[in-house]
Amino acid sequence: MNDSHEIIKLYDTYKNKVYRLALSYLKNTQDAEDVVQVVFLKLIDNRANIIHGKEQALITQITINHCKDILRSFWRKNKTELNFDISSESEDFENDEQQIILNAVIGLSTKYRIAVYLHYYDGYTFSEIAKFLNISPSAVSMRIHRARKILKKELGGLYYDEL
Amino acid sequence: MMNSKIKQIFDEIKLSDERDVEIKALLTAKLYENENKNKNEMENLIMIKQKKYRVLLIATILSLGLVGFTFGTQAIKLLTGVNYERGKNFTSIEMGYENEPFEIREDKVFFVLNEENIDITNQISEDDYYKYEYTDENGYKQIVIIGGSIEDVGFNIYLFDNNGISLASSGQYNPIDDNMTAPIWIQKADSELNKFR
Repeated sequence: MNDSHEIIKLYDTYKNKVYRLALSYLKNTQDAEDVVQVVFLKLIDNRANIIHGKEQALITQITINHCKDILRSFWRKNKTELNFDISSESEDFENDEQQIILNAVIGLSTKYRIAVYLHYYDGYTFSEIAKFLNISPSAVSMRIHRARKILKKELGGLYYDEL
Repeated sequence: MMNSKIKQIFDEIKLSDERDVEIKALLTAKLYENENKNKNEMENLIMIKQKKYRVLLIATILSLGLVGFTFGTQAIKLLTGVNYERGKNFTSIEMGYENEPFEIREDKVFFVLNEENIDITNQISEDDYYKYEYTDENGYKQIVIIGGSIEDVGFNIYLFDNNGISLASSGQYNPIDDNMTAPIWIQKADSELNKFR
């Protein structure tokens, strides 16, 4: 891909997906915004690797890799407290129910949260998620299963049959 | 459904407009920079290629030639189409040519400036050159020299004022080595035409 307009088009299409995924990983809006910037800058540098029709997978992979790098970083590990300000994102939520669900999902540990996000929000299959996270499909299945159990417990069984 | 609720919740989470504008501007700048970088790299490659395989353009101011000069800018268009100019505080000549002094037709070299059509094939070589002289109505003399083998023809044009003082030269030729050494024919012409300086 050589057309600059195509890169900007990809940015417009996927910026919020990248932001949400990064926010799910990092639970910090500023960090997530920075991830969006870095991911698309990396995409420009790697535009030769963009395959038509597989743009989303590449962008998701770059996002996941970069979020993992951030979580592994010395600075992040030594942050005394995560600035979890996702609540500011949810001011427009229609009701408490959404807030409760969001809090429950965000409250999951990173590995469960990301698996839930990629599967239930982005719609990736277990195999696809396995490739992104470099784990086996069965490990993905296990994470989703455990996440559902935790959510069931957190949500008081309210959505047990629906998940 | 729970998954639809999760979808609905996350759909409402969006990058702020402010950061969106910032990031988009940054990406646009980066893309612009890359495009220009690529363009510059390409231009540099072309320049390097020209230096390696093409000719060296030369232009030399040999004398300020201010004898009898008063005011204003004086411009002389040489037979090769380049301009020689001199003003109160400057003298310049353009490099290269607009009108190539020779043509190669059927393995023969012809001098073609000034509406001439002279077969000079047997007069030029790697060691020798053909010389054409022209004096304009103001007494300025132009000497065009053409030299080299038929595969590697070069030329130079010298301008002299009406006192016979060499003012400038301009032309192109292939250097004979990486040190940009001029070929024998042009060294010879320089030496012989020095008597005008």
